[in-house]
Amino acid sequence: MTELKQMTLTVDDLLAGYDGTRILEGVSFSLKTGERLGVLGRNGMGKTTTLASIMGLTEFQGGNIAVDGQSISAMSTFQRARLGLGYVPQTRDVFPSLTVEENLLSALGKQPESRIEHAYQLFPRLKERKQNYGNQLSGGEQQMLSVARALMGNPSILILDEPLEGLSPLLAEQLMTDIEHLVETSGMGCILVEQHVDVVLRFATRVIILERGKVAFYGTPAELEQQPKLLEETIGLQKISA
Amino acid sequence: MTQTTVKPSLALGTLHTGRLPIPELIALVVGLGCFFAFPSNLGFMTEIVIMILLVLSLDLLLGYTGIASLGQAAMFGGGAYCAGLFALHIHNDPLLGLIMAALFGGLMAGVSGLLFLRAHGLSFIILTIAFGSLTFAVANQLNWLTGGDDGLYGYIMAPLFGAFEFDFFGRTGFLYSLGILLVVFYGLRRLVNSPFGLSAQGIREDRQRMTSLGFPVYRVMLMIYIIAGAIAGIAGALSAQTIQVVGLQSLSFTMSAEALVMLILGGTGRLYGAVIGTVVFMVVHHYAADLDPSTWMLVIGLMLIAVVLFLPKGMVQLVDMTRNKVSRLNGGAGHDNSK
Repeated sequence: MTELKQMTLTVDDLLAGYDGTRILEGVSFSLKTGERLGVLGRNGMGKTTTLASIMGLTEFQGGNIAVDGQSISAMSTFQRARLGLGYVPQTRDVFPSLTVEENLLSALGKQPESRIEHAYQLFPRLKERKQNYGNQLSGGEQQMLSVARALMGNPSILILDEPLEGLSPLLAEQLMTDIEHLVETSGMGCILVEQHVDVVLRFATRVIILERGKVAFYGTPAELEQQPKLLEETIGLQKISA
Repeated sequence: MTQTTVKPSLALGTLHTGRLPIPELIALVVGLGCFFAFPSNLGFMTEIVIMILLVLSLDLLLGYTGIASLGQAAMFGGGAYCAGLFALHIHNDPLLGLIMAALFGGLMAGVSGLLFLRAHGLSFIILTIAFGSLTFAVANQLNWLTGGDDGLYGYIMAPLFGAFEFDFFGRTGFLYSLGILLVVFYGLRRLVNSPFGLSAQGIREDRQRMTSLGFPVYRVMLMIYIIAGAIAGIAGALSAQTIQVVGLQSLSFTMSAEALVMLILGGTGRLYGAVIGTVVFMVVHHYAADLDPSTWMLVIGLMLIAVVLFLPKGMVQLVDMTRNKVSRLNGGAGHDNSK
């Protein structure tokens, strides 16, 4: 397997939005390879916009995004991806008219073909379905494929936007186990946006809560669990399930 | 049930994606069969082969990358004039002329693509039409170089490989064109199934997704546009070398539009759809025009309507349906080759 590049992603006082409308009002955090950041917040609070802004898919309005101290705020999306940011959007965007294997090959670029076999080891279900077209996969399989495809570029930091959305509890549990295994064994960094608070608290080493485009909390899961009032106010959660 | 449908691992599926030149061998056998069966129609069959090359170049753009162009004749005509002028003023070796035309077609595509590929959808289509009209007007104005309305003529091609004369019956022309088609088809088949070709298909599916995956979409599209331009240039060169005249119509909008119709007729994104569509269009056109020169367009129009209504994926859908039927009769699960 190709060696993982160590990197630090720093988001500093980020202002971003769409078509002149501001969504993010000074979001700041940082993440190194090996760390796992969970992003929580109600719908419309800027979680997806934060991830999309890291990838350069929104209108940058101020602040700074840097990798290893070098600003990437002016870089194009593909350059950011090539630096080592792997993005899996909420919409999955599996290519329906390509087979599983072709979906993976389409994202391979100059990486060795052994990465495909590596993806099959991580998600054995994909190997069984490698000749099936994207539109013939279940929701869980599409999500696996979307993650596996993002891994083709050998990212140092994987950015996942609600990967469990729309999946049955059983499939969600299986996929999350796979993702945890992947992140632990590879040593890559991971930013996870997820509605399931318990999943985020179990997975993340640090958590941020977004409230109207601002960071309402930034700390460890243990610190967050000590603040039930904040959880209730920002996420509407009264008690964290085991 | 969709869960059981897989990409065909036998027959056309493997033929299409495999490294063995089996489709090319089949095409060679069919081509040679036609060569011996219809010796008095070699000129017309050469035209078909050349047109297949132009339509294949369009399939690479539209079918595999999602770039809809109505100006591919600019590169075809550019290649034709380049090969003609090269033969007239520099060297009349057909293969040298072919290489020059490929380079010129690629150059035209590269220069125009650099500007036009910044635009998307309808804007891009309009730009390609404008480029086609511009090249037509320039060729017409440069009468001293291109022959204008009279066309470019007066060059005699040297024998192919120094041994095979371009004869009056068109035997060498047909076999030469067929050989080039097979080489280009094999190259294209390898290209579209390579990671690069698949990234182009990813762009067709979702440009933004491919950008997020780290692909310089504009650069990939430009490279595809250049390759398609080079193939159109090769087609133009074959036309110039086998007919030994280059007319302004080789740059016409009609040429671009007809190539697009042939591709839609056959089916996009399959390569052999381009072959089927071109053969059907040109044969129907040929015989319908023979029967009644004033109503051939009516026949073509009716055929197009029927295909669009009943075979929305083009005539290749008939091949898929037949294969599925055969597979079911043999007890197989059937295939959904919906690409």
